[in-house]
Amino acid sequence: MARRYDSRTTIFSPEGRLYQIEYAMEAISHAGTVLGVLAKDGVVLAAEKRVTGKLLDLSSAKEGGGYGGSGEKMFLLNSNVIGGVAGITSDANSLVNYARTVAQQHLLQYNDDIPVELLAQRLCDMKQGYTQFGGLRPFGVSLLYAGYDPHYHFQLYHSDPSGNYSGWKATCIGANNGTAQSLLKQEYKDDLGVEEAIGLVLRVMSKTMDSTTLGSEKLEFAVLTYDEAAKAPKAKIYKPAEIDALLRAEGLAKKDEDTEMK
Amino acid sequence: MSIMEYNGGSVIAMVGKDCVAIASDLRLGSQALGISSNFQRIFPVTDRVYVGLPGLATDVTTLRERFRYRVNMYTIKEEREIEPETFAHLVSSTLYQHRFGPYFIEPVMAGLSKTPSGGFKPFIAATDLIGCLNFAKDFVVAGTASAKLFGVAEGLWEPDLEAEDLFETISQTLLNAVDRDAYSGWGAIVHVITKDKIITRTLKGRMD
Amino acid sequence: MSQQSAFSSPGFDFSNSVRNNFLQEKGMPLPKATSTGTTIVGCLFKDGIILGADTRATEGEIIADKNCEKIHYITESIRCCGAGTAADTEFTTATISSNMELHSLSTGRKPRVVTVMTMLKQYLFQYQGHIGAALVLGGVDSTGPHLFTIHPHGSTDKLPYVTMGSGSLAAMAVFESSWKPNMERSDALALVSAAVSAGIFNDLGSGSNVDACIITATQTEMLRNFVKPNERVEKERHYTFRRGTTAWKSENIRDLIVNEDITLVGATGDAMDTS
Repeated sequence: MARRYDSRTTIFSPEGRLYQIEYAMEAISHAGTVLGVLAKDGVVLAAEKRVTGKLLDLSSAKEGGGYGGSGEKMFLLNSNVIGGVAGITSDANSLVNYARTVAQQHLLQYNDDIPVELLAQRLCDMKQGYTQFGGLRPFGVSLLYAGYDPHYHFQLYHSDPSGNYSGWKATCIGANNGTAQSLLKQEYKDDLGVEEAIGLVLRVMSKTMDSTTLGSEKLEFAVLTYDEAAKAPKAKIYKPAEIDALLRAEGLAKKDEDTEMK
Repeated sequence: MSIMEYNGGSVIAMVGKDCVAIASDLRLGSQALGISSNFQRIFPVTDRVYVGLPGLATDVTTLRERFRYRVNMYTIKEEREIEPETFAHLVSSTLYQHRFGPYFIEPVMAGLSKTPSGGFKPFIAATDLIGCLNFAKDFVVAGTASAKLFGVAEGLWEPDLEAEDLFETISQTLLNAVDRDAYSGWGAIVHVITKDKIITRTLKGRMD
Repeated sequence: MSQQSAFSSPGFDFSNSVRNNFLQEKGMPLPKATSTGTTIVGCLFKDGIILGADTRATEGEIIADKNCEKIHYITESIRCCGAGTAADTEFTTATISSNMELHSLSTGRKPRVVTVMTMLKQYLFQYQGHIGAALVLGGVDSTGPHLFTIHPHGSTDKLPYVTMGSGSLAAMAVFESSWKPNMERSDALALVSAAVSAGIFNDLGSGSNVDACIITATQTEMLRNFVKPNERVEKERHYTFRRGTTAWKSENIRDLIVNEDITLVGATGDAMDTS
C-alpha cells in the first residue's frame, strides 16, 4: 500500500511526507560529491567525477574548450556565478540552461549581473514548482552556487530538489556529504583566504572520495575570485592539467608507490 | 526628414593587411540640435569583433543589449567566442525578424576571423535596416554621411594597408566625409583590430 | 514573468510596429531598404536551364554593393534569382531552400521545381505582396527542365525564357530577338550573358558583372562573375597619408596577448611505466 503515496509527487503520505522528493534527495546522496568553501576573497568548488574510463573522449576537456572542466559537474552560470551540480546529469543540464537564460535576462533588463541569491531563488522557484504540479517529477539535482555580487560580495548557496536553498560558509552535497561536512566543521576557520580554502577543499575531498588518490580524471575544480584590474569577478574552472599541477603543489598528487600492483 | 536622420551619426569599417578598422563620429543630436559629443555607437562583441550601430539612438541601445544577450548565451553554451561571420548572421536574422516593424539601425561589423591554420582573416560586413547582408572586400559604410563616406572611401582606400596606415586612411575618410554632413561629426573614435592588439583612438573633429 | 527564449521564435516580430506607425504619422517616412534594382533572366536550352543575373545592389541612388550574388541556392539542381527587396529575396530563398532539404529528407526523393514554385508562391501570397521578392526560378528534375517567374503577390508564369527586375525590358528585348528552341549550350550562355549585359548597360538599377548558372540533368555549374565588363582599373597614384597625419586626443591599446606561466605536468618524457 505504500505505493499509493510515492507514485505521484503532489500527494502527502499520511505521515506528512513527500516521498518523491525524498527519493530525489536519495538519488543525489549517491551522486559524485561536490564541495564548496567560502573564503574572504573568493569561493572554491571541487567535485568528484563519476563518469570516467579510458574510453571516454576527454579531448575537448583537455583542450579546455572554453571554461575548462569536462562539463560534467562544473558550469559557468554567468560571469559572476559558478554552479556545481550533483545528481541526474540530464536534469542538471536543463537547470543550467535555465539559470543561464535567467541570468542573461537579468542583464538585459537591469544592465547588471544577477545577484547570486536571486539566481538561486529563481532556480528554486522552478524546482519547487516541480514538487507541486501534477504529472511532474522533481529535479534530481542539488546545486552549489559560488558567486559574487557587489551587494554581499562572495557567497555560497546550496539548493535541493524540494526548492529549499540556504547560504553556507562551507558545505557539501552528494555521496559522503555527512563525513565531509563534519570534517569541514572541524577545520573551517573564519577569515579564511582563498589559498587556504583551496587547500582545505582538496584535503577534505581527498578524504571523502571513494578512490584513494586524487587526480584530474576524478576531480573537477573551480575558483571564483575578484579581478581588481578588471573590477569584475573572475571565474576559473580548472583544466585537467591545471588540476594535476595544483594537486602536485598541494602534495596530494598521485605518487608512484600509490599505483596499483602490477 | 527620415527617422534614420533623427539622431545623426555615421560608421565606417575598412579592411587592411591582417587587420581591420572601424570608426564612427561621436555626435548625438535631436535633429539639428546637438546633444552630446561623446555618444558611443561602436561596441565590442568579443575581443576580435566590433559592431557599429548608426541610426536611431534608442535602437542603438536596445539592439546592443539584445546582441549582448544573444552573444552571451552563444558564448556560454558553445564555450567559445562567436566568429565574426556567425555574428553577422545573428545580426542579420535579428533585424529580418523585425521586417515589418524594423529597428532603425544599419549595423556595420568588423573583426578578425580564425582560420583553420590558426591565423586570422580580416572580416567586415554591413546590413541594411532589415538585415540584408553586404560582405565587402574593401570597406562598408552606414549612417547619415554614408553617401559622402562612399565617395571618399572609394577614392582613398587601397588594399593591404598596414595597421598604422589603415588608421590614417579610415580617420581621414571619416573626418572629411562627416565635415560635409550636418548630422555627423563632433569628434570621432577609431578602433584598429590587429591579431595581437586593439588600438582605440579618439580624434578631434569640427565642433560646428 | 514570462521567459524570453534564448532562441528566436519563428516568424516575424511586429513589436516595433506601433512606434514606427506613430513616427510615420508624425511625418517621418520609413527608410528605404536595400533593393536589387536588378536584371535577372533565365532561359531554356537543349540540355536544361541557364539563369543569369547582374551583381549590383542599390539603396536609392547609391550603389550599396558592387558585387552581390543574386543567384541563390535552393537545391543542387534548382536555383533561384532574386529581384526586389534584397533582404526579402535572400531570406525567402533561404527559408524555401531549408524547407526543400527537409522535404527531400522526408520523402527520400529529389525535389521538383514545381514543388519549390508552389511553396514560394504560397509563401508570398500569404504575405499579400508585403514581402517584396520577385523571383526567377529554374532547375531540372525527374520531369525535365522547368523555368518560372514568381511575382511578389504570388502569381507565377512558366515560360521558355524569362526576365525580371528593373532591367527586364532591356533583357527581354535581347531574348525576343535571338532566342530559339533547342539552342546549344554555348549559344544559350552567350545569349543569357548578352541579355544581362543589356540590363547592366541600359538600366541604372543594374550593373557590374554577369553571374550565370547552367543547370542540366547531370550537373549544375555556377559561373560567378562570368563576365566582368566593369572592372575598376588600378589607381594611377597612391593616396596613403603619411603616418601621423591624423591628430588624436587619446589612445588606448588593449593587448590581446595573455602571458601565462606554463608548468608541464604528467608525461614529461622520463619513463613512468615500470611494469
